[in-house]
Amino acid sequence: MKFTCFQKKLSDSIIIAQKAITPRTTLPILEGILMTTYKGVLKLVGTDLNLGIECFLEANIIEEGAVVVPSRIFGDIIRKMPNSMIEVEVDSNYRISIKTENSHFTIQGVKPDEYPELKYVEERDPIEIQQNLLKEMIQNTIFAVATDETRPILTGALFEVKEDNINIVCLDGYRLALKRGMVANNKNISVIIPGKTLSEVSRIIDNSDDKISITVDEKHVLFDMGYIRIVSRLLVGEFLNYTQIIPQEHKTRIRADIGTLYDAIERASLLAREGKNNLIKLTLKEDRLIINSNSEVGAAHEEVPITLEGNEMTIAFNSRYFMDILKAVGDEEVCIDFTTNVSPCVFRPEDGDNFTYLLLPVRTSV
Amino acid sequence: MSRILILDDNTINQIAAGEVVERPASIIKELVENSIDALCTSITIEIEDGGLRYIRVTDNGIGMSHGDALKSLERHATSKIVSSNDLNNIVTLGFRGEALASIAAVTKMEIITREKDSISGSQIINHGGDLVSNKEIGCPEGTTIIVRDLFFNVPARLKFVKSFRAETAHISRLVEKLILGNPKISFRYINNGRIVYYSPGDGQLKNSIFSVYGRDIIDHILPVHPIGDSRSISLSGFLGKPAIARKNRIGQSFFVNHRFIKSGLIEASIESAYKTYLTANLFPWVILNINIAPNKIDVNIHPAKTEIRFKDEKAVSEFIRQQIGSVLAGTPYIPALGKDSFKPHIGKNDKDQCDDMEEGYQVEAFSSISSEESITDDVTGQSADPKKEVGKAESPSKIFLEEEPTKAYIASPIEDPENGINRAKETEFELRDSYQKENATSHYKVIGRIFTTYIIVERDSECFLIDQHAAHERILFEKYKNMFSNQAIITQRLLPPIIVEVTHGEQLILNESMNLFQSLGFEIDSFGGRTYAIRGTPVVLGVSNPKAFFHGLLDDVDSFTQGSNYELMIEDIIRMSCKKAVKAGDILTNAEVYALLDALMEDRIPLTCPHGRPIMISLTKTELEKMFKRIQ
Ligand SMILES: Nc1ncnc2c1ncn2[C@@H]1O[C@H](COP(=O)(O)OP(=O)(O)OP(=O)(O)O)[C@@H](O)[C@H]1O
Ligand SMILES: [Mg+2]
Repeated sequence: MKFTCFQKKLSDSIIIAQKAITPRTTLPILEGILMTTYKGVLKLVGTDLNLGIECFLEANIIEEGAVVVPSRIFGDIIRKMPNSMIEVEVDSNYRISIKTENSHFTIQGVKPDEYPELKYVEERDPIEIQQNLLKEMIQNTIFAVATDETRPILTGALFEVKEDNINIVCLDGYRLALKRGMVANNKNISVIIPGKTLSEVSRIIDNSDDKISITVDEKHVLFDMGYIRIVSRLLVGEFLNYTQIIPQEHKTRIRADIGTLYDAIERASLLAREGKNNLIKLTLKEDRLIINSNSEVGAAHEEVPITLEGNEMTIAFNSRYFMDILKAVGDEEVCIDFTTNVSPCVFRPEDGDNFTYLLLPVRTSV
Repeated sequence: MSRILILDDNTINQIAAGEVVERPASIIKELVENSIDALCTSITIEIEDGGLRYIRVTDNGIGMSHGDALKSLERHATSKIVSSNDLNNIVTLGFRGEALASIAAVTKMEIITREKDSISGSQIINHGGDLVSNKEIGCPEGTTIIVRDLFFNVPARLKFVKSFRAETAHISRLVEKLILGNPKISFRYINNGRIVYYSPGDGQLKNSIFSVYGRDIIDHILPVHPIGDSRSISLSGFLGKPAIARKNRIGQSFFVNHRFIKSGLIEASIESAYKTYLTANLFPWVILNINIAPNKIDVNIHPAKTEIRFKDEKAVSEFIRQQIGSVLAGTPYIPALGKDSFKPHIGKNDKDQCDDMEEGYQVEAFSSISSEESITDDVTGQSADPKKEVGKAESPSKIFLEEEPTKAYIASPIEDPENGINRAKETEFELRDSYQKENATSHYKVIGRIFTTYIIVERDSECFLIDQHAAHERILFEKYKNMFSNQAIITQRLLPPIIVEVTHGEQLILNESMNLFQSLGFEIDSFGGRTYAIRGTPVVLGVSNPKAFFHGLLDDVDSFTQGSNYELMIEDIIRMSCKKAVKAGDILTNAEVYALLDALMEDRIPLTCPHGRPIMISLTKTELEKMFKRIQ
């Protein structure tokens, strides 16, 4: 096989395909990227058998063929080349020669026959969504996906399409993140996508309002951007019925400016961190929210103006979880609803319902 | 006058009972083993009040004729061996012919039994070795033995029996092993009228495990497919992944030719196979069946028959170690440590942080495919050999031995040329290497460091080698312990609660020590049967790991037989959090190193790291002189 193409294009595509590759896999062939000529374009494939990424790029194909290239070294070589035309040629022993004007590398590739084929998901009736919307939805929920295996299903995110609504829900036992988006689709889907897949997707897709199409079958999901296709296994099982755990009523509601609140909590948590417990205490009193934290090093007291409806109260949280949510909320103002100091509090937008975050408090003995 | 008397039979039996019948659980073991030898397919075990008042074992085995039933109570009555030659080839669990006689000597026993082809059965009642009644009755095929009022005639022995709770726990443990060791037999275990365990007896070990440990564990075990040669030695069973390792050997069950046994040899072989996957204070969860030609073992060692001797110990131990090692190596391991160290958080404009997520996610994602459904179906649509396919977790040794933070503090300059910051500190250390400390309590001199790991210190006529890694761990531990004791207990609420299933033995312990769990920050309530809901979990040093904490503490309560020890539990929970709490910023300063030396020299801190390894060893001048043969 032989082709020429622009360094930048090839390098970008390699980086994308590499996202599906696990270093130190025990199946050596999976450390490679499958590179094939395909109807006048070049196709790169990386997979770890759970997640597979296919990338298509323009190239000037001189001779058809396929090879598995060692992902890391090939990627590094291409990345360090100047941005000019690169010529790649593979001989019948799968020796790969990489040439630019002043450089010439040869490295050994592997026969492509044993490279696993990606699962074919038939694109029937896909969901279409703008890439920037999907990206934002993932980024603002994925932090709440469970990272430990105590409950494997929670290491995935619930991806739900209900008529014209798309919901992504993540839940790790300490908090819940729910983002809603609107797209004209009129479908009903509910699947659990591994957290790793979604986070790779969010990194690969653009910030543009180009559409990405999503297709699911019983066990797989396919994200298709045209020149990039990401296919992933779904998690099998029952996701928690999240609507049931979001409290509908509250005894206290506060409104606060996010920036001010975030900064105050961040400052107070400097001391909480010192004590290794990230504990902050919030007191809701009249038109103030008072934040206290302390450790051996000292004590912090912060006040943030708020509007308060309902009961005054004191409640404690892990400051890190609180800040994660504030970061994701992103609006200027947020409403936070409380019931008791041991029940979850709920973050809602000022108006509309494009997100819901739920955070469990901590209880302290003093 | 002759003073030597020949003891009467009852006395002989009571003495023998002392060896066989240690506690109620031993009776159940003997009775169930008899049932198994009688080729039954189902066994019911019922106890009341820790088995001290009432034990019933019913089987559907071959039963006994009237004559045999009477004989069975005599000493050295057995149908299982005929001559001493048979001792070299024992294929039954019993062979001594003394269990029933011994039990009968110290209890009120009732035997109800009918042979398959017999029209009627027999009922025999025996009190403390004396026949009370003996008649023909109608009864189902098989044998029921009821044992009441243990030690009613030897009150002295009763003193050694523990509380009902403790005895019940012992019995439950035993029944667990019996269930695990006999998947082909359907067990029913009833305690004070309530059914505790039921196993289907369908021959599937997995289902037996399910019956005892609940659904959850199934995701965390790996099958040992029968390996080896069935005529000499072969293994089968399940190995627990490191994530479910425990702090004691409670999760280990070994069976040799279906006999539940205790064996230091097997323990050691298994643990050595697991060595690189587990930290020193953890023991693997393992169910291992060893099938070995009967003439290669000796069972006749102890009356309780829970010990055996392998004729070729070395070969057996090597075989187990290798086979288990290869099962472990061929399969991905889910890191039990360090899992929580990664917490994703992406803000809107936080692109950079995304990249940090990579590592953690990969580990997580792979571990999630180890559940069975997922293995068979991957994105490539191939259903390849699972061994090959799932083997893509990180290399285990790397994950489990998170040593990075410990090496930073006085690493030698040559070893770490890139790290400018450390270097500055090192120089300071080097300068003070020959530093001499003089105060009222101690007077010592740092001589230097060897193998970049051990600090040598001289004091009076003694010299010390200090393991700096172990010392570092100890310092952090002390520091955190201090921190923790100055803080309030913090409970992180959970939603949804984490549901855990415990064994019956654990349940008894848990119910008894619920207050202790609460005082440490747990919120736990009963969820029916042997399941509990953890609604709140302690946060220790910012780390919360509900399941690990819960099981860790449960193990603790269990091992502290002389009552639960709050202090010890706290230490343990801190220890569990310690590694995770260590952040990059936690590099030791020189001041801390010297503080450590001071503390060590003044005996103010324990001389072991939190994992029990020694921090420091000493060599006296006299010992050295002896080595050089300057003195005798
Ligand atoms: N459940 C049973 N069903 C049928 N036969 C039984 C049962 N229990 C006991 N027996 C008969 O009674 C005999 C005596 O039992 P016992 O347990 O005292 O001795 P053993 O099993 O032969 O040896 P050991 O003392 O090692 O257990 C057995 O050999 C067996 O023939
Ligand atoms: Mg017996």
